[in-house]
Amino acid sequence: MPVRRLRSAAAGTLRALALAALCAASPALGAEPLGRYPADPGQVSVSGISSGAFMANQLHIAHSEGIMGAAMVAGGLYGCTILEVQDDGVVSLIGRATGACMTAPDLLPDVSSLRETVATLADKGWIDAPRNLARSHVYLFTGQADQVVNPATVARASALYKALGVPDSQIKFDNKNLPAPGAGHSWVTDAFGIDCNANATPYINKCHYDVAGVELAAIYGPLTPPAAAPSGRIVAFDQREFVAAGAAAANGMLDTGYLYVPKACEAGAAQPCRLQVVLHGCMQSSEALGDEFYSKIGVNEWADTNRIIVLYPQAHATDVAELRIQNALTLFNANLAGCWNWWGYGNDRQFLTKKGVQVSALWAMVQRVTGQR
Amino acid sequence: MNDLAKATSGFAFFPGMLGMQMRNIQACTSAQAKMLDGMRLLGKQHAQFMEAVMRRMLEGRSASAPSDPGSLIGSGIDQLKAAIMDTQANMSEGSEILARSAGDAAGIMQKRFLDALDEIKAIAEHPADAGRLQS
Repeated sequence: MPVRRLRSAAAGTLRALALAALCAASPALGAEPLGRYPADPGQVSVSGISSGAFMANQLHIAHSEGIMGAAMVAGGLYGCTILEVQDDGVVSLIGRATGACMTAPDLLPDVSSLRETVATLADKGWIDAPRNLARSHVYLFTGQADQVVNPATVARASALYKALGVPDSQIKFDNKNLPAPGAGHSWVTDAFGIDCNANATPYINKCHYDVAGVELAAIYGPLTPPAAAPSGRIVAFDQREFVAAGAAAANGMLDTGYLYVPKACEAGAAQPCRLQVVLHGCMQSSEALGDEFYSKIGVNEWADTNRIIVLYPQAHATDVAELRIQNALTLFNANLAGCWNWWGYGNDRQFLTKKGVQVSALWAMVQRVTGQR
Repeated sequence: MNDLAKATSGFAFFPGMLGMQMRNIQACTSAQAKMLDGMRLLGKQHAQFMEAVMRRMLEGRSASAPSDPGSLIGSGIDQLKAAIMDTQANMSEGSEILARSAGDAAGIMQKRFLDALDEIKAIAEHPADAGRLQS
């Protein structure tokens, strides 16, 4: 009897150790579910850099009824990669993403054909009616030394917003020639990051220009100056509940995302706060840069003094082996650089509509934070 | 040999083989449709490329040429670089369209081939049930 009890105790200890090891290996197990906060659903905006800018643009146009502003830094042109809209989704090319949309601006689709694509998607009910965009405030930034996404692409994105009915007075296209020779492909900050004209990781450049404050002011109007240092808290949350079957990794998303909550926006706040979704670019997620992007790009400082909750969803570098469908087209569906989905990887033929895996996950996060879900 | 004789007696396998052949033809038709759709998309992509090239040529013609030799050479080099990037982008799009349609077609054929092997096995093992494989 004592021997059996000893064996049982040993087995229990082993199980506990195995569980502890599993918890240590998987950070998502430690992340809590995304909470509800006192955020005003009418004050939701989105911003992003590079692939995050393309995704910000997609989220904005797909959900124009619920998003009042968008900021695109070094990227963003809705439907740029689409060759054709079909009954069950779109035909999109990664070759067009890396070619026309990034490096061969002569081949960019013209504004009228892009506007037609938007209208077609709206007619199918896959995106909100574009007329909602008329009340949006839009900010676009491109650096003159950007060698990754050609500035002409961002200029075309600005023209498309205008063609979709956003008044000129509500669009700020910022291609300011920062201290010569201009900014490289990056989220531009006042004092953090690498040389201003660099086009290299971490794609956060020190240009003595605080794009965080400029984009937030373009969307929300005049702001209170930023805090010297953020005094709110960063909350890690589990992203898997927002992806069907919890298959975050297979769909280019990490298990854990982050949320910055200013003190003034904690539960029981006297008045509702605003919410901005901030999307990193390729090779900028927490698996690549640690906490650098969600804590050092300058947004949290502005958020602190202006009652803005900041949601930092995280993309994942999806390897071929992680894809659910393995076939001859597998290589086209991987996401090796951890980008947001703006060309249809992961077999997602709806990536730029409300039915897209990532767009719907991001929207569900917004609804959770604003208490609508 | 005895087993084979049993399997073929009374042509019990015939309805199953016929159904299998029908499914083979259907798979070939689907694969061919995928290839044809790929060719159609390639045509569409090529038309878009030509339209963009024509647009660039017309825009280039309407823009006034630089007067000094240095700028003239510089602008020529820029145009050459743009043409190289355009050609590369066009080739990459074209090859992607072909690879995707060939991949789709190959996927259909491979699935059919694997299914057919299972069906042959089933017919050989249970010739009397071969007719059921048609559905």
